[in-house]
Amino acid sequence: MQTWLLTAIIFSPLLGVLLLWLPPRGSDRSIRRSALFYSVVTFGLAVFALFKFYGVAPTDSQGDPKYLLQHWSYWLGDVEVMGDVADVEILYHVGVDGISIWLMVLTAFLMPLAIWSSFTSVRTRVREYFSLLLLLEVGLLGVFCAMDLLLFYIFFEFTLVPLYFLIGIWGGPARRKAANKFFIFTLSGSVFMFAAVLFLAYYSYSDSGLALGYITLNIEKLSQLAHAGFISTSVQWWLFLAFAAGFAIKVPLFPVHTWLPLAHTEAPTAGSVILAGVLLKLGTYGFCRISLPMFPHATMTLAPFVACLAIAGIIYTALAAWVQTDVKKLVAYSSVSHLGFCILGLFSLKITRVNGAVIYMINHGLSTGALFLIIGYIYERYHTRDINEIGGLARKMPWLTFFLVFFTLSSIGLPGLNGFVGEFLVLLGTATSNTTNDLRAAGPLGYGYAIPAAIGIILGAVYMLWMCQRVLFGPLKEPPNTPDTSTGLSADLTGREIFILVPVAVLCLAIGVYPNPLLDTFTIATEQHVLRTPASHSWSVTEAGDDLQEEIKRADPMRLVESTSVNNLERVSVGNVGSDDLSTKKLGITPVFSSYPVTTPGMFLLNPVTKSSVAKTDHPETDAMTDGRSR
Amino acid sequence: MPASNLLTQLLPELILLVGACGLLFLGATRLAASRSFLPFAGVLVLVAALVVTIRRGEPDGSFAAMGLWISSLTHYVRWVALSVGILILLVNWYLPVQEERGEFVALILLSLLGVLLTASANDWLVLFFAIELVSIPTYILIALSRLDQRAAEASVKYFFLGALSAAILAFGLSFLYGASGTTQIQHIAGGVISLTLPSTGELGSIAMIGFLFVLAGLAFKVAAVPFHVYAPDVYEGAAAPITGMLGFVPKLAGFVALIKLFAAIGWNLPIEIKWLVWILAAVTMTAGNVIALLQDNVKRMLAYSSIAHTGYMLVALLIGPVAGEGPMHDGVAALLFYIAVYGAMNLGAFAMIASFGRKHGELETLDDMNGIASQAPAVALALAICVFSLMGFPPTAGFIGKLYILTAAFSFSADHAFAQPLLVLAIVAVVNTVISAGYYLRIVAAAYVGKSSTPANPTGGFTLRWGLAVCSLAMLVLFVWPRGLAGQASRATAAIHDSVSAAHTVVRVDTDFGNAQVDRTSP
Amino acid sequence: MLTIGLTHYLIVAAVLFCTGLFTMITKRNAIGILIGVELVLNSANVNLVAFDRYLGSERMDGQIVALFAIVLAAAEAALAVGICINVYKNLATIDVDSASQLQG
Repeated sequence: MQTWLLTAIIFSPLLGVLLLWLPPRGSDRSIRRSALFYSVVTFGLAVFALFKFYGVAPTDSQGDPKYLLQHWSYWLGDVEVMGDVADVEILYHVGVDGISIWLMVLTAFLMPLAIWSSFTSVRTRVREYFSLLLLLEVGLLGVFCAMDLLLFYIFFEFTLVPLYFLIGIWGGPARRKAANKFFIFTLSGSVFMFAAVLFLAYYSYSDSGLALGYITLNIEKLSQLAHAGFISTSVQWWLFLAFAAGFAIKVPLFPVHTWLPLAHTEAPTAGSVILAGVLLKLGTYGFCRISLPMFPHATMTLAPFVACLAIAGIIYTALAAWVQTDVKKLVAYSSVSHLGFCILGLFSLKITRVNGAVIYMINHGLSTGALFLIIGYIYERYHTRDINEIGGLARKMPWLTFFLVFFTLSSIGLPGLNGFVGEFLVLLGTATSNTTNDLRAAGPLGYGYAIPAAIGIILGAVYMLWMCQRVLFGPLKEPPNTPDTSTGLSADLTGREIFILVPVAVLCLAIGVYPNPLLDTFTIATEQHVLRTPASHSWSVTEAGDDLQEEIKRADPMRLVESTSVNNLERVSVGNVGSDDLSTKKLGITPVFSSYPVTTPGMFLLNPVTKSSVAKTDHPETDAMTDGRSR
Repeated sequence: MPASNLLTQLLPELILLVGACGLLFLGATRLAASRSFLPFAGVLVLVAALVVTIRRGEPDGSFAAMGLWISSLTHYVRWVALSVGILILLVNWYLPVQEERGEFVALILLSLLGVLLTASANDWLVLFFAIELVSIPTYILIALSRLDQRAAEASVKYFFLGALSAAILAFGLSFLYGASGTTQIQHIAGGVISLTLPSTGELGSIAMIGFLFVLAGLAFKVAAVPFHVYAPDVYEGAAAPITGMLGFVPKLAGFVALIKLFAAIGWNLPIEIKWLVWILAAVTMTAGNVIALLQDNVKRMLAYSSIAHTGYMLVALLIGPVAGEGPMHDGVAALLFYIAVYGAMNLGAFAMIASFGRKHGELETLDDMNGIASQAPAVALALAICVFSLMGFPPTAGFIGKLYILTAAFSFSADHAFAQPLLVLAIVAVVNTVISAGYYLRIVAAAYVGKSSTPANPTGGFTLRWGLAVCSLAMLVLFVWPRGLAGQASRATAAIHDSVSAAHTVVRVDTDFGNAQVDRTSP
Repeated sequence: MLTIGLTHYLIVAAVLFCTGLFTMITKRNAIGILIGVELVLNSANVNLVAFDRYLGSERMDGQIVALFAIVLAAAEAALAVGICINVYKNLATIDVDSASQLQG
């Protein structure tokens, strides 16, 4: 069933941009307020979508638990339509699952804060500034909701344009170089992704590939086919590398991270907040949504390599952050470091550790976004970000001190705040990745990877606390003629600025204390969509029968998705595990890899693309077990 | 063939011809004194021709007489040429001085007439003349566009190189005539005109020489490397609105002629020719993009970008209609789509340059373009859309065009002989997109990020801006709804598919020069 | 006695073509370049007539095309002279090497 909600959410900032340009010469004040209003409206719609999502929750057998709130319409389809499947099935197709809805809400949440925080710092070309921010929001929301590869790519690329202008026009002294480097660097990675997307389009059609007889780029369909073993391993390797080229630059992964510190230091505050808070998640989200599901074999094999790069990144950028004197650059490097953690968690390929990586994404968005906001406040008052020039601000700015310390601790991973949840899960996942004591298949990483990562955490604590100490405590040091209160600021944070930070802080605390709702949602989504089946060292591609191919061919994406709904689902209670019970007689489906344990109540066996002719691997589960969820 | 049938089939072309002559006549009267009357009349003529084209609907390809063949390809080219022609006239509205207004508009109409005839041509002679009809008015238009030394110099260069290319084309056509024994390009009602030898089924040496010379002559027209050397100088010398026309009209004619040339041998290109075109495409793309990075003059930069786009279109041409139907498999449909989109975006970019002037009558260097966005946000936005479309960046129609070409390049099955080189060529195209971003960004950055203390003088009047607006809107609209144009393009290539057939030969020429005996088998 | 066959005419045409090309490249005088263009066009004409003569009886297509090509060459020559006049008005010479403002 379709609903317009997601399309409305994605394009309402665009409507806001158009409305913003309608009055010929609005005053700056009204422009700012309208922009804020439009972004708040988008956030409201996003929260409404969140409620709707949970309303049609997986426990509700009426709803479609895989992707909710979908909307699709034929876009690049060819003129001829064969039956009800078009010859070319590249649609405008949006939908959310557990992971994407929260990332989308995060985006919609951060944007009003970013807009509100630029009220005093942007004085020139105000209308263009806010319209660019809103355009950026369109792109970001679109990426998270896209269910078609081409649409994903389009929104992914589109985010480059507004950010290029934001950095280039309102940025710091080296802004043109930073904007150019950012654009060209990211573009060069993503064009390889583009070539890979188009290759997949051909591959889905050709007889030597998926032999569907028509072109499709539907993420869900391709992932299911990939997990059923239809994409050959050599093709997987090349495609993984091509997609990784695009995502790795965006994340950013270690050797190709050099654009980030430059872009961050030169970007205006709101630009930095969105860049760190959301844009970097595009890379990790891309890995999580596309690379992991669609290229499981390649992921499994290349995961150690990627993890090594991630660890190298963690340590290297942590050390680089340690020696920075520019506060913003320091936080930028710490951002890279933290995202290295995220990648590590993703590639540990254990279900509930991947969801640790996902919650890490959210946490990082919140805490780093807030850190950049605070740095922005400092910069507005002192016009410098150099640690050597400012110090001891705690005496003059108690509120700032509170928030800076709070978010520093959140970023470091103090237990009780949100950072800890993510870091702990990621470390645990990395360390236990290659064990099977929870009777899931082994992942590729292990203790050897976790130890350097833990060192990275320690380094993170070192430089962040050191930065706090230099900036906040000690003797008061201010550059002359500051703080600059000309634009209506006060020495300490104004009410508006406090009001911006408070929701973020509340969320950080809430997630830190009670992350379960998020983690549950992520677990379901991760199992259904990202990992589907546990990646196993003993990967055996089973030959599914011809009728399976036929079924896939005939299925239209909605039907494929719907086939997971009502009549194929059944709650499996504890003790009822083992593929014998989940027999074809009862459900009409069997898992491809029977080492996929479906255990506790509230989880669904969801692997509808399988038929009876599958091999059984040798993991007999007969006992009820708990999975490693952080319950 | 009743004369009335021919007249009705060729009605759009006749309207253009009569309109051009009428405008020549009117140009000598007092009506030319008004700045808008003659261009307006020209637009009316084009609109009339377009309306006739729409009313007649898609031809079924059955009318083939007198060296012409009205097919779906004709219909598509009529649509594209006439619509972009209206935009060209809008952009060129203000350009000519009073004494030359009639000739100016009439020459544009005659050039467009040449394009229409290229698409209908089924005879080498008609094709040759149509191509000349496209080019000759442009030689004069460049000289008329600006009354200064650079325009005269550009006109001379373009003329002589164009004349050389026409002569090479004629030389090649003579060999093709000798090889096939007739000047007809494709046989319509059964039978075939084949350039291949009966003994080996491949092109004999005479046909091969002819083919290569025709290819060289047409490569001049579309500004492929190494026949591109006139393009930067000519594009810089002519006034920007005329350059917008130059970047589209000869290219459209040249590519349509190339399509017909390849169709004449049934798209069974010998492997040497395939590699030749491969190298041509790769070098054109790369050289165009790399040299553009070194330019400081915006018009030269756009000229080299024009050359690079020819490279992309050559890739599409090389793919041919072999891999399937629809623009995601069929290279020719992708080519037709791309050239239509390219015409609009190129015109838009040059129109923007024409709409402001700093030191010269128009924006010449990157420094001239500083700060336009603060002064004229709508024009700068239109420029940004056109430039991002040239870059092939979403959400513009240029992205869709590149998408079609790249997907068609991947569409060969793995056991096709040329699949791997095409894959490599696609990767080269992708890398070139990144290289091109380097200089396209500079243009946009100058307009948006750069600052200038002197305001730019607006020139060109409101029709120029309307033309610019329509071009950029078309980019966005075609992104959201490409199916209309893409569907038309794939129907246009149906005409090409039908010509790929085997059967009798008409006249053969044996392989070596030493033994030029005729071997005639009757059909 | 030497039998003049098709090959000989083709060679003559090729020689004409090369001569015309060489003339175009080396001449500095604009009219000289025009002469080169004419030579190349005429080489095509020779080809066309030769194919007609030697490839079967009562064939006229090539000769007709040759006639049309002559007309085209004449029209282009008229045009060329017009353009040369325009250049002369702007640059006071028809030496094409002096038209060098647009470089590269």
